[in-house]
Amino acid sequence: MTGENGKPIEIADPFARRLIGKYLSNRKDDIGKLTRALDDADFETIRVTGHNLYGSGAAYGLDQISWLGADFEKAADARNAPEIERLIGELTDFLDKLRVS
Amino acid sequence: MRVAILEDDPDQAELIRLWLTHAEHSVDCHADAASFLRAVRRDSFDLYVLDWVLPDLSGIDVLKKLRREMGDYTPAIIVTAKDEEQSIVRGLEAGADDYLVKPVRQAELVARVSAVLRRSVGNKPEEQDLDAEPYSLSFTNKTVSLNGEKLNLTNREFELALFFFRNIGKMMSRNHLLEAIWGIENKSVSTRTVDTHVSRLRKKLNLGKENGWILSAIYQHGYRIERVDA
Repeated sequence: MTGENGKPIEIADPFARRLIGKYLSNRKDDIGKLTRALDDADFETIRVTGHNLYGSGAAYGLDQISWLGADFEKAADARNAPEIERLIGELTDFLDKLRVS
Repeated sequence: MRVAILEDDPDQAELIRLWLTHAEHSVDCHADAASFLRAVRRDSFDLYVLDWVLPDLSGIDVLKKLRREMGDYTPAIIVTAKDEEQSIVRGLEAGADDYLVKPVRQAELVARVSAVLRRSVGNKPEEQDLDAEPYSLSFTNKTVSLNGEKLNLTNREFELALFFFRNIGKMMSRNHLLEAIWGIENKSVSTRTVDTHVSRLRKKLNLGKENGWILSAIYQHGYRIERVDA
């Protein structure tokens, strides 16, 4: 995922920029965690993971991660497995295409 | 200032730690309530930053425990994704001094932390003189007087006296005293130095029942100055 005109998303906060590599690597781990939780119908893990995504995404300059986090929380509360599966796909796609500077 | 953070998400905790460290605060992060409560029992801080949703106790439960069971009124900011009016009211009623909705941004968090810390010292400038009968502390002259008579203190002893009288009734850990008086970067000074200076200060100020103040050692933790009946 890139910003407007295909440019990489610029992380304005210098502290977030310093930590962004580890942050994105942890989000890739979240995909595995969310997938396993969905297989186990562990909606609480999905809710907590979504909650943390919501809290951290925009702080790191990645608002879309916050929006997805909020959607994960809502879907987990509703125990909506198809929606969670769709959101996992959206998060995976976002992280795969993401370029930051 | 010394800030203790309770935040279970390591990515958020690390970012907040960097922000506050850059703003020249000393930061101690904890991922669960049990570890946080252990830390605040053995150490002292100027401010707490508490997440609400945690794996063990909630941030609100921690705040209630601090205020109602431990008598700890260190200023606290709740930082949470819960943005409904009811939650904000609940947080403030539980004893929070401020409430910040996630996702947080650096400038706002640092500004809120500064504002709460300013309020916690009653908006008094750091340089203001202080009266604690029968003692009076003059920041301008760096002197302490007892019943109007000037006492002979070194600069360091004056700083220490001022720090204690600005934190009446609060346990101040040795590490907190080291950071506040000797400076956070000063690695050459040990907590033994704190003990020596406190002991000397106690004698020079003649602290005791006769002057209405005691400076107690809290075993393995630190020191607390309190008013007592003369």
